[in-house]
Amino acid sequence: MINHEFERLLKDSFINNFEQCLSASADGRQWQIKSDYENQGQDCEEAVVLTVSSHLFRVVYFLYFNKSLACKNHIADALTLNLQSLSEVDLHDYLCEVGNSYFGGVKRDLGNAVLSLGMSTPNILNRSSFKYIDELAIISSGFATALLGDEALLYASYHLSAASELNFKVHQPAEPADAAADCGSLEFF
Amino acid sequence: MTIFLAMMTGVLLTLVPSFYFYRKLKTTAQQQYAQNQHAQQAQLNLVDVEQLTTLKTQLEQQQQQHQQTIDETRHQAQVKAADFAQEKAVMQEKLATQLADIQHKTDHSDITDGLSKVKDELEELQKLLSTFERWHESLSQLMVHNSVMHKQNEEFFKIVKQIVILALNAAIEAARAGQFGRGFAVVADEVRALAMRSQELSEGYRENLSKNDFLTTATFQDIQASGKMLYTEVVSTAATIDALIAKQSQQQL
Repeated sequence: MINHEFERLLKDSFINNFEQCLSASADGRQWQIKSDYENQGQDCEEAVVLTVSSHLFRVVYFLYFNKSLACKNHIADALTLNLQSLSEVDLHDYLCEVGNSYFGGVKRDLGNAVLSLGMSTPNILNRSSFKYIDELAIISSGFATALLGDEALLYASYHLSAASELNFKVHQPAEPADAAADCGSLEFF
Repeated sequence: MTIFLAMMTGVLLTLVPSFYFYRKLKTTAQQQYAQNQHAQQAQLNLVDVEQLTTLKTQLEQQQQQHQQTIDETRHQAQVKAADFAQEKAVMQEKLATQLADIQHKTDHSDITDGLSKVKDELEELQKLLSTFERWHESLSQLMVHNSVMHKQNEEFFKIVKQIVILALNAAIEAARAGQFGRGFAVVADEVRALAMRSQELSEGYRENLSKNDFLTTATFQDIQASGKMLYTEVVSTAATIDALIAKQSQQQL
């Protein structure tokens, strides 16, 4: 139902952009991205959800997180705020920004195979909603964990849903000049 | 005899020279005649040459005249042909120009008009953006509404749990009251049963709200992403049409 070349692109862009996105905001600390066989993030409290759509398919991306002390510390550091002054809105805004940057990069990479793509704005969902991803007739999924030091702080997953067979040829990556235009900032309507 | 001889000799002497003279005279006459004949013939020949020369001259003159006539005619023909050719060329050029002009006006005006109409329609389509904004606002409202319902359901769930505990306590108190508490025990059991059903309903309601959260978000995001994809395509097509219109305008100039 999906050709190997395109599935490979989905997985590679999912892992590579996770690392690139977090490395850019880590203040020199080393993030380690681990590809998982199961969805480790489904037990997290919340997730940033974002969709990339084309004429033939949609991919729903999740960036899972807990409102743990470690996670809050990381975000407070990234935002140069005191932990006490870090509000839930700050936390959500930051993670939505990270999700937007991460999946914006993925969308750019997918553009090497699919010409017409669109990306939604991010939303936050609670754990109780995660399991309903199965309602979308998923044909391919991928999971990853982001560890800062030894601690797993963030998790990610993607879920591809398509009504017809997908057979895309992957072309060479676009010019770097084009890359900057579509990644790194929130896309608002 | 001598006389005879002398006479004969004299005669001979007279005749021989006469004969010779006669022969000479005859030869001379013949020669002169021949010369005359020759001269006459030459004269005759001379006349033929003159006639021929005259004829030739006449012929040459006529030939020249004819040649001149032919040349003039040819020249006139050439001039006329050249004039005709020039006129034809001018006419052809005019016709070609007119045809091209008509063609250009017809085709290009159609294309330009068509492109302008498409551009207008695309500009209208670009107003999709406001539709997306409206959808985004609607989704946000839905999500807020769902969140409120989640909270209300949680409150309801807590209340139901308390009712279950109260109903259990009531059942215990009714049992203590013995015979007097039998009626109260029946009511307490009914309340407890209702609370248990309410708890089940609340849990189901919570599940449905969660599913609603996900499906609303996923559906909206798909619409939003597809809309953005279409919007990008519309903008890209509009840019292509702008370039085509500019190219057409340059060609018309």
